Amino acid sequence: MSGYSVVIPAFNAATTIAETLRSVVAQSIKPDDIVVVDDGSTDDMAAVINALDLKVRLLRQENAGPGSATTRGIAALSTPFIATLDADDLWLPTKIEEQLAHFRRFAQVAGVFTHWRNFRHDRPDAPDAGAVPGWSRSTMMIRREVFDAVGPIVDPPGGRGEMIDWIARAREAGLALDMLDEALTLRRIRPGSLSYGRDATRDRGYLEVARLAMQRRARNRTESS
Amino acid sequence: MQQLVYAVASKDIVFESFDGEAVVLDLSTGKYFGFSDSGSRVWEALSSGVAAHALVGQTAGTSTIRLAELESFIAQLLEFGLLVPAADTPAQPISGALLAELAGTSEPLKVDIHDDLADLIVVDPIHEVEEPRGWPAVKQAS
Repeated sequence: MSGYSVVIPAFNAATTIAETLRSVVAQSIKPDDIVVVDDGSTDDMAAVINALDLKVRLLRQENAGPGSATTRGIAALSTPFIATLDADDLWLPTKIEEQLAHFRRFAQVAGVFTHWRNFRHDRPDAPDAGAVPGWSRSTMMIRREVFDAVGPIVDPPGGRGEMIDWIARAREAGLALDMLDEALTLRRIRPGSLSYGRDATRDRGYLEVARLAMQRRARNRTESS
Repeated sequence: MQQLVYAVASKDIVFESFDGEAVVLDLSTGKYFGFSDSGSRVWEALSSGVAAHALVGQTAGTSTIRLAELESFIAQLLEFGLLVPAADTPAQPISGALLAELAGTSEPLKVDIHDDLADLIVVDPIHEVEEPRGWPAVKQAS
């Protein structure tokens, strides 16, 4: 038993889920359990997963958002370590091995993230592409008890930013989250993506997350004064 | 300067009013900004094109907005890169509803800058990623 399992929240990811799952089963250290949480998909993703003949548990819920789906998946797992991954991103083969090694070296570390780099949906991976710190679901690996301490991943009403909120809450709780310098995760970028279109609902989610952070700070000030 | 109209500095500056409380975020730096109650209303006015001079002398809580106070507040908004002068833009009228809200405030003009989420927000190069077919197209309760 490797002691870790994987949660993949997924919504209409029929075109990418197979590649994502293959990058999980190709890890140099194999997971004990893989859970895909179907967040109310309307495409044929379930059929795609079944056709792969991999040991994957598929949970289903009404569409509620990626944070909710991730929380649901984590609740279904009991391994000491949990890694999460978006249904269109990929891990490089030693991603988990490096993270588990980091956990072994630093007993006080609560979570380990990795650098990531973008890859284009329609092009082969370009290893020379710039890597940046991937504070995100697709790079995250945590100790199981950390999740119980920080609580559920909450989707901001009408927007994204649920991981920013969760990571901020973990930091505020004084938990040590480390970032590996190596790019061990790949983030999928869709063709024609340099359109500079702003997404108002995503912006709103970020604003909500910022507001929640200020509210927590104000509450802490009141409690400590 | 009190004759000036201002505009939101760039498309990277996004903002929203949550029950009268303004939150502003600079997507390019990941820094965000919180306001006092009166600051929220003045931000709302200035960011929608109300001329600065239209705010001087308005009732805010138990006092009125003084020119020096407003100038120093606006100087901060300019320094933070949230607003830019928009000299040739016609001023918008200030709404009666906003004036009433301003009158009901209790705190002095204030804006605070926060960078605790900056590294988490800038990692997401929003404008480089096309809308995925899945998230964030989460079904909205309408």
